[in-house]
Parts: sequence; structure tokens; C-alpha cells
Amino acid sequence: MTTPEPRSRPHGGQAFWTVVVAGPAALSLLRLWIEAGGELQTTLLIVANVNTVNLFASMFLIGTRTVTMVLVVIFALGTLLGVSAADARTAGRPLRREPLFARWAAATPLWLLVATFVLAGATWQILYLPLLLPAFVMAFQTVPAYRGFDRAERLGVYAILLIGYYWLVRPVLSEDGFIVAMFAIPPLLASLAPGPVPVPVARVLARVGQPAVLALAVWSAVPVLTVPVLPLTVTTVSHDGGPQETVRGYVITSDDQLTAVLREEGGIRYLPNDDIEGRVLCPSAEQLPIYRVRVRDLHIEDSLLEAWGRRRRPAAPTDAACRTATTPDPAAALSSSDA
Amino acid sequence: MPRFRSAVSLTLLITLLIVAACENATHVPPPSVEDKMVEAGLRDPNRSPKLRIGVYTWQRTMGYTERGVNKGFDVEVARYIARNLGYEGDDKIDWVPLSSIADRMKVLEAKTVDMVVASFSINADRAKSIGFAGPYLLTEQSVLIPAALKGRIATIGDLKKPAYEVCTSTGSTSEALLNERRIPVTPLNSDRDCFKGLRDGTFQAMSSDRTVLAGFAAEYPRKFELPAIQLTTLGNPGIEELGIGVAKDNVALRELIDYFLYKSYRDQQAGRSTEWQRAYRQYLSHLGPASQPAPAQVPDLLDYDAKSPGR
Repeated sequence: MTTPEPRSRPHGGQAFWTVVVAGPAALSLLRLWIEAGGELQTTLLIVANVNTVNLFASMFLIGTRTVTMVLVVIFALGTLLGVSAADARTAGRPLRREPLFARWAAATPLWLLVATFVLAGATWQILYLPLLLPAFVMAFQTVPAYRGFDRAERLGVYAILLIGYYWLVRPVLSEDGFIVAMFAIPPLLASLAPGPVPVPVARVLARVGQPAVLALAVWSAVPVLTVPVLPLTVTTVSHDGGPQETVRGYVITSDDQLTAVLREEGGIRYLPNDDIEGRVLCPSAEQLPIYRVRVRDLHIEDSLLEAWGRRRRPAAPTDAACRTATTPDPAAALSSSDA
Repeated sequence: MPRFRSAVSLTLLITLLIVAACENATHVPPPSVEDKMVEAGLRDPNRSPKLRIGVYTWQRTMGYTERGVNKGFDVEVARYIARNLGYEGDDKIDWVPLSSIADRMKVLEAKTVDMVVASFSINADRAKSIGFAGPYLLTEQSVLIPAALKGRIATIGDLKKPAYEVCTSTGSTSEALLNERRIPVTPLNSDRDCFKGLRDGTFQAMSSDRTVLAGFAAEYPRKFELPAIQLTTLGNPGIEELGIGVAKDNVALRELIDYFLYKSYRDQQAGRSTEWQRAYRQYLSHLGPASQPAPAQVPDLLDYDAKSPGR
């Protein structure tokens, strides 16, 4: 009698793809709990009314920056660890096992690597784009096209690119220290970035770096979970010509008689359609930048895609209703006065 | 050696990433428009749901009422500011009528209005008691005479003749200029009183802001004239800077108004059509071409368009 062969654990590559595909899908559903303010009934109302395709589309838009950030780090670190592991083997001091990221990076097809960097280049804030350069060199160091150049050719191309880069970002170099560091240091490090690293460093990276990156992935997913899934609106209502009321929130659904609005502070308001006088789309406070710095008139907290969009449609006036103080919810006002 | 180079490079990159994360979490951005709204008390749930704006209801072209509707250049500027503060439409504005020049200071000091937009010229004396945003218009001092006296009152010398009595409002820039020119003058409580005297023949000339006088002239077509008399002296160019008055202690509201005036000014400089230009064309085009002046103090505020090109 033969014992059944144990089922093999999923290969590193399979696990990777499971995380990449299933992770965002699960997150996009879980974030509805947060969107609903933790209320079960509100969550169910949103689930019942938010189109699945729209939900995934908004998740893709909001999450691309974070997902590409995590992938870029995994590919860069993975390739570096892979090169370092090979180097350690050659030196007769092999690592105990091939690092997980190294296996993921090795299993990644070139087109995905290119697509990730292109997406990152288009969606990362301009402030963080310089970090892509050393990451690019680290991640592509094993690609045959990169290895086809000898060291002198690589340095020549690098020097030309560096001159062009500094001409481009020259106006920013007079800003405060952190901004200058972000724009000046990463490109300089790019030429030094390709591996391998010393074996002890590789061991530390494998043991500490990999879990740290996974922790970073979870930490960076938090903002994605809290970004609203629906557009913010301000609805002006007035009953029988009475005083106007402004309701700030997210329209969940509307039928012949009522419109359900998830209020910004929480809770659902059902507004009679006949009472609605107007509705405008409003920006939210999270969209405000924290720096005033621009590179060639592109704001450093915009991605290239956003900056492109702003140049195409430069005027984005804020409707007066968006500045209007929100009228307190009648029910909430009543309960607070009771107290 | 290349191994250490890579390790050093990696260490520096990780350090930079940590610094970036810390900087992102701790960097204090400039105050936003919304922050200032809160600071100015506009988000106070106990405040009036309407914005209270003191305006003239009798000064043609600048601030007047017609069939119960407030009109004029000042009123349009006030509407522009009100809309940007979230009070769009006259049903969200409480227009507080001001009958005299002195009223403008009184209502601000008593805080019975949020702001005053009523041909309010900025000067150091007033700025001790109230706050000024702007200027939003520059205007010169001029003289108004009955059309019947056209040609007879045409110079400073004519104004000094005992046959002619000149009126102006108390404490105005015009009064200072007329005194410098040693022109005998009768100061009254308001321009309106002077104009009444001009109509009934008590006075033969009155002096005030050109915008105000043009408004009076427009009330009675062909009855009054604005002769080209230069009242300005070397020490006093006689240019009035009209500003928007706010309570002295509400600095945040003053900053918000300055910010929105600056936005309009910036749009004009960029060649975009502005509400200031539309209001000027509608009410003051007879004074000749003019452009909006830059506000004196522009606060550094963040708004939702902070990332837009050219901002």
C-alpha cells in the first residue's frame, strides 16, 4: 500500500499571483465596511447598490499607485537578492534557501516588469519618481538587454541621462532640503545600485527586508482602504420653499421618489427627489497638497497622468455650494439638544 | 568593492525612504481656505445662516437698490466674495443698508455685519479700528457741478471764488485735498447730503470719489457735469484705494477676502474673463478702461485648485 503523495504547496509564483489578483479584490469589498462607517445595514445598502465593475474600477484607479509601489520594491529587492544569492553560491557561502522575493522576481515575465514600471511612472507622485531610477536599475540588472552593454557604455548613457535629468529638475534644486534630497540623491545612487551585495547584507535583507516590505504593503494599503469609493457631492434641498439645507455626502442610490445619501459624517439620509434643488460635485480635503513646489509648472504631488489632465483641463472651479457649511442633520440636532 | 557600493547605495535609499515617510507624516502645509473659514467663524453652527454685508443703497453705480434689488459695482464685488465664501444668491446674503459714511465704521465695530463693501477708502486712521481687504478699485478725487455752470467752474481758481460754495463729506480724502488747495469747503455728513444741496442750489460744486460723482450724474442725465479739474497735489495724489472692511479682530476673514480678490486679479492677469471686469463694464465703463488692482496683502492659502497649472 502506497501512501498518497502529499499535495505540494503552491509555488512561489502561484502564491504571488494569488496575492496580486485576490488581494485587491478582497480589499475593494472590505473597504465598503469602512465606507459605511462600520454600520452593517449601511454596508449592505452600499453592497446592494454599488456596481461591482465600478467598484473594481475605482479600486484600480486608487490602488494602482500603492500596488505598483509594492511590486517595484519586490522586483528591485528580489532581483538584488537573486543576484546576491547567486554570488554567494559562487563564493561557496550559499544562502540557506533562495529568498522568496528572488523567486518572485525570477518568475516575473519581462512584460510585467516593464508594465509595472510604466504604470508606476505614470501614477506615482512626481516627488517620488526619482526613486524609480535606482529601483529600475536594480530590477532590470539581469535583463539581457541591460547586460548587453558593457560598463563603459552603461556609464556613458547614464551620464547623458543624468545631465538631461538635472536640466529638467534644476528649478527644484533651490527648494528646501528634503525636496532637493528627493530629486538629487536617487538618480546619483542609480549607478551604484546594481548588486550583488555582501552575503551578510543579503542574509539580513532576506530575513528582515522581506517581512518589512510585506508590512509596508499592508501599511500602504490603509490609505487605499479609507479613500471614498463614491464621488463627494453637496445636495441642496428645500421643503415647500422653506429654508435651504445642504447635505454633504455620497449618493448611493436614487429611485422615483427618494435619493439615499451617505452623509460625510456618517449615516444615511433619504431625500425626497421633489425637495432637491441642486447637486454639485465637490473636492475633498484629502486632495489638498502639502507642498507648494512645482517642476516645470507640474505640481510635485501630482502624478504625470494627473499633471497631464490638469494641463488639458486647467480650470477646475469650486462650486459655492462646496464651501457652504453643512446643515446639521435634523435628527442629530434634536438628539444633541435633548442631551 | 562593487558589493559594498551596492550595499551603501541600498542603505542610503532605505534611509531616504524612511525620511520621506517621516516628512510626509510631519510636514505642516500652509493653512487652507477651509481652515480659514473655520477660523473666521463661518463654520460656527450658531452664526447667522446668511452673510451680513453692509452696502450703500443710495449710491448710484456703486451701491443702490432698484425695485428692491441691490445693484452696483460694490454689490457685484460683494456677491463675488460671498459666493466664494459659500453664500451664493441673494437669499443667502443679508444686505445691511448703510445711510452714511460713519455707519460703515459703526456697524463693523458693533459687529452687526460681517463685512462692508461701500466705497470704503483704505486709510491709516480707519485701519486702526477695522481691518481692510483689498484694494479692489482705485479711484481719483473729482468735482461735480451743475451743467449750467459748465465753463464757469473749470479750474481750481474758480472753486476758490466766493460766489461758489463747495461741499464734501466729513473726513473724506476730498476734504483733505480741498483744504490743501485752500479751497473753502462745507463738510457734511455724507455725499448724499452734498448732492442734495447741489440739486437745490445750496452748493455749486461738490467733491468726492470719481466713481461716486459719476453715479450721481447718472441719476440725472445731462443735469450735472464732471469738469476736468485736477485736485491732486504733489504730496497727495488723491487716489483712493477702495477696500472691503471687516472687524479688526477677524483677521481670517480679511485673509479670505484678500485671497479671493487675488484670485480674480490673477485670472485677469492671465487674460481670463473675471467677474470684476464684468461688473466694471456694467456699472463703471463710463469712467474709462481700468483693471483690478492687486490686493495689498495676499495670504498664502491652499485651495482645491492649488495643483492647477499657473496657480
